[in-house]
Amino acid sequence: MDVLHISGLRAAIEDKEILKGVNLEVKSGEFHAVMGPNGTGKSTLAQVIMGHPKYEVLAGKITMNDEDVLEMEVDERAKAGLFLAMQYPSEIPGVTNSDFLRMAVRTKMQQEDKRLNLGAFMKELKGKIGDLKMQDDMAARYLNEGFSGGEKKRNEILQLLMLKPKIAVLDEVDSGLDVDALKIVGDAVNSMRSDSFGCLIITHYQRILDYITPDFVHVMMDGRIVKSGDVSLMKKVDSEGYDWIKKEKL
Amino acid sequence: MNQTNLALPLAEKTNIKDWDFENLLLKDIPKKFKTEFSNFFPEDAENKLLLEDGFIMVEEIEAEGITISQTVEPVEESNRLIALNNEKRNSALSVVVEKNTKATLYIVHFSDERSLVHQSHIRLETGAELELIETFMLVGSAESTESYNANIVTKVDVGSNASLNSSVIKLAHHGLVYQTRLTEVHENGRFNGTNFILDYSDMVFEDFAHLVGKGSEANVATMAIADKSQKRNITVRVENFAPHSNGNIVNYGVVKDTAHLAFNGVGKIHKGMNGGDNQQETRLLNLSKVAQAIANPFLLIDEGDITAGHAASIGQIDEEQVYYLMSRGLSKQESEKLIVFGFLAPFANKVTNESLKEELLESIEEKLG
Repeated sequence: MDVLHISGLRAAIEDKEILKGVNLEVKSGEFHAVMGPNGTGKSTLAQVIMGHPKYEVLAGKITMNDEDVLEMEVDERAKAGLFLAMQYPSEIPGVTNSDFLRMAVRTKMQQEDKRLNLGAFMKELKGKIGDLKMQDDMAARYLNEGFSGGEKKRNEILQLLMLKPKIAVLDEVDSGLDVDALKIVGDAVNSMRSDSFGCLIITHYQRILDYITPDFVHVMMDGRIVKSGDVSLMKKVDSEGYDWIKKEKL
Repeated sequence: MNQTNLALPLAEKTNIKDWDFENLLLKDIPKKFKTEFSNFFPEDAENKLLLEDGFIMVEEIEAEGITISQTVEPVEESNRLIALNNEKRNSALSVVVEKNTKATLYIVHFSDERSLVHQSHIRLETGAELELIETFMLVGSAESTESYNANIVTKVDVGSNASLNSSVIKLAHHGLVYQTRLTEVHENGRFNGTNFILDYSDMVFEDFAHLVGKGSEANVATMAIADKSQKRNITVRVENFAPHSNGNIVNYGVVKDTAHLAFNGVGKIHKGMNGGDNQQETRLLNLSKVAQAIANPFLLIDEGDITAGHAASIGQIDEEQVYYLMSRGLSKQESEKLIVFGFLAPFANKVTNESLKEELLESIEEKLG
């Protein structure tokens, strides 16, 4: 079992403190949702877990199976089994999606002392592109360059499916998706559900949670997780908004 | 002619005043076969030439209508280093492609015992079509990684309705180089020059095209990587001397470490040459905080009824891109390399010859370290 453990996490960007003490634990087999109004630090949490260089950790700990994640380089975090589906993925001109994915998958397999079989890789890639109902030329196009918002989000999920991390953080994968695409992405994430995969779904809207049912729901406000519960918490937020939680905290 | 009355090449943006171009090792050596370099010729190459220290060692020409000789008329001495070439020349090559001949020709210049002071004249007669792939391997002595300075002058004449695709590949060399080419393109002729500058030398490199015939066209694309303490000055100049002629310059450069790389792009449309077009684009990527990457575009226009434009950019590796790739498990070094490869991809994709492309990608990888 893999465990991502976050305790007392405080982090800042450009000297502005955004995370003010986050405690959270995600284990394999569990789906967690983090909800909350805009600007409460949800995306910061995702970026700090992955190690974005612009964020500074002020205090607290992140561990993956008791290993100190904050001491790891970004690629070491990926190698430890972490994955972040980004809200704004970078565009890399001149590098095709399939070349990039092949390099990433090969790196992962080398770590497991396995060799990449090119034929099997291409077959799997083609299959997943089909599952996500992406255009056939997706593998040959340059990584995210000129992709629409929806195509970028699906491409993040494609990487998730191909790289098969232990614990994935999905940062607002629902924004920019229409209803059909939401269902496709939801199905794809559900297909990953297993005893060896844990997921932290960060969302501003609840829409993606119509398709993916989380085991645990957390509400984040002003840099802290202020309330945790099961799916009934999500339903209450959906109908009543966040004000009642604010009042409860006062 | 007395060389000292002539100026050095212009080489704008680089101070070459103290560069020791005249320090040439010019001893006589006997003609002897060194090595075959078969890997520089594709297996299916029908026409190939190997010159070793100026001697033709392999001459296999299967196509009819290609004449090879080692006699050239000295070119006009427009600067001191061309005069130096005329005076000290120890290697020469003339290639004439007869009317309507179509062929592909591979030329390899290898030199390891003395300075290469070489002059090439390439002439395509009316309607001829030549794909020319020319590789320069100047490796120096076995005892040292240094190689000898070199001076290379090329004169090209593309006849009316003729077409020349010329790739120049520079590998391995560690010395100081002056290399210049002047191409004249006649009526409805076309010249596509592609330069891959991947060696280790300090250099002044010039590629000048004169569009002298109506409807003529020149496209000159140059890629250079400069690393360590390399200094390179590259000037590509295309001048429209005829109406309805088209010039296009594309430069791609990557600079590392403490290197200096200056690209001068000059487009000039002379008076009365209406209906002409002259475009240029320079893209530079600087991988170091202390390296110098310079893009210096000029457009000189003496005619109203034309189109022209230039674009230039100098960028650094984007931290967000590196983070994104690393988040998928690639190391920092792998990520940066992939981004640079991606940057050079539009250029590398111009190469249609697969074995040549592979060779180039390997050399690029070696340079990027």
